[in-house]
Amino acid sequence: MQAHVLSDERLVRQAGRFVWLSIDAERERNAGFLSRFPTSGYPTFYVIDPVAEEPVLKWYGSAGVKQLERLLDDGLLALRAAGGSGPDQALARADRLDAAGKVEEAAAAYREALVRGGASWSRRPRAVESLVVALLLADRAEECAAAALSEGAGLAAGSSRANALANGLSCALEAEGDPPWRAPAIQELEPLVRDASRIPDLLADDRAGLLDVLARAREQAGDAPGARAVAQRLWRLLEAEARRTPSAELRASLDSYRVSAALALSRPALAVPALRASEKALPDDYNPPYRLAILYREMGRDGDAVAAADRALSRAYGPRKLRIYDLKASALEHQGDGAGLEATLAEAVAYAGSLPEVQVQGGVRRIVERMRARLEKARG
Amino acid sequence: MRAFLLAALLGIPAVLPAPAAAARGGLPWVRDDYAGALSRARARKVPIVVDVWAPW
Repeated sequence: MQAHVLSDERLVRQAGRFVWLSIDAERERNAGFLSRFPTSGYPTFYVIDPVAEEPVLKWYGSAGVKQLERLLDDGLLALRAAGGSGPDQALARADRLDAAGKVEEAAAAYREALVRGGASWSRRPRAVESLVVALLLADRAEECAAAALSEGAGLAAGSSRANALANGLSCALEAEGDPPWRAPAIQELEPLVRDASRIPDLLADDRAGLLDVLARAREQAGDAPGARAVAQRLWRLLEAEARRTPSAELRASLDSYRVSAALALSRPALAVPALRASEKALPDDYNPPYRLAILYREMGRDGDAVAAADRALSRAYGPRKLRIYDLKASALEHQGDGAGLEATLAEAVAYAGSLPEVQVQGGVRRIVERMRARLEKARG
Repeated sequence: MRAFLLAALLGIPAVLPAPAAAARGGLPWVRDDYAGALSRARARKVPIVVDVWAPW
């Protein structure tokens, strides 16, 4: 997002309308901000009312330049709109509820805005996207998938259609248990997402995200050749992006997909040259050696995995460092290096203890608990 | 909006594209200083746009 959109010169015309704040969620000094304005995924955009110190709009994920400019307009609308019965005012109320974390109420308000706006309302695509995400966040998986079908499928070809459908498919794929609505929803949504993945002019990371969801759908269906075909398509997309991308930074922004595609193809070595090039071009960035460590670990090259993890650890900070420790521990264990394993786990647990609580949540907390248990076992 | 939002929310690792920390274009970003941004926004009477990101 930062590499693709926020550096775009067209956004300079927006400069005077806002104060622009960049928050690196991995930095300890931002723990207070994150406690006050929590988020579950990155990137997240907020528009914040500086008088009340309240968020009026919250947006998960990437956006193109035009879409971001519309979101900024919507943020101003949410800040200024009070009352009124039009669809824009209803959307503003929904956005404020959503930004405040009241996602169930927000979903109802987005539905109201859609009814008031009708089929030709200019903000309809974004409202549909926000509705599906609000239902996703409210753990309303069935309604999320249903809204993607009833509202998302009615949108014209574009990023909002693609993302609403894909988030709906994600809701169905991740639904707990196997409720009766799930299989029919997947059956309807998957071909729509497949078609959407071919919409021209999608952001590269959006298109890669769609292919990632489609690969998960094939995996869940037990269709290994189908999942492999999607991974191959993702790899071709990444190769094409690498050829047309002028900077190492832009190329590296898709490295995580290079790793996931290579792993899905059971060919981890495929992504090694690109990751080595990223490490050389971006020597202060911990991500390339971390991703190389993942690839080397999969290739059974444990010594190289440990060395790459060490390079990553020397550059990393914040909760991400714990995932690197976890990976290094896995390679050391595979090597049979008990002393190295114990030392790494002890260092990791001590580091976790030094982080603010807000940075050790969810998946990170589970990793820390797992490493603590392994350390106790290693110490006998 | 990323299609893999649910995966991100569930903490499924290693699928998020990495933003590049340095690429910030011509916008006058305030880095990692909410109090400073708040003070400027109140003085100028404009809202704050916040990009919350992670370097992975």
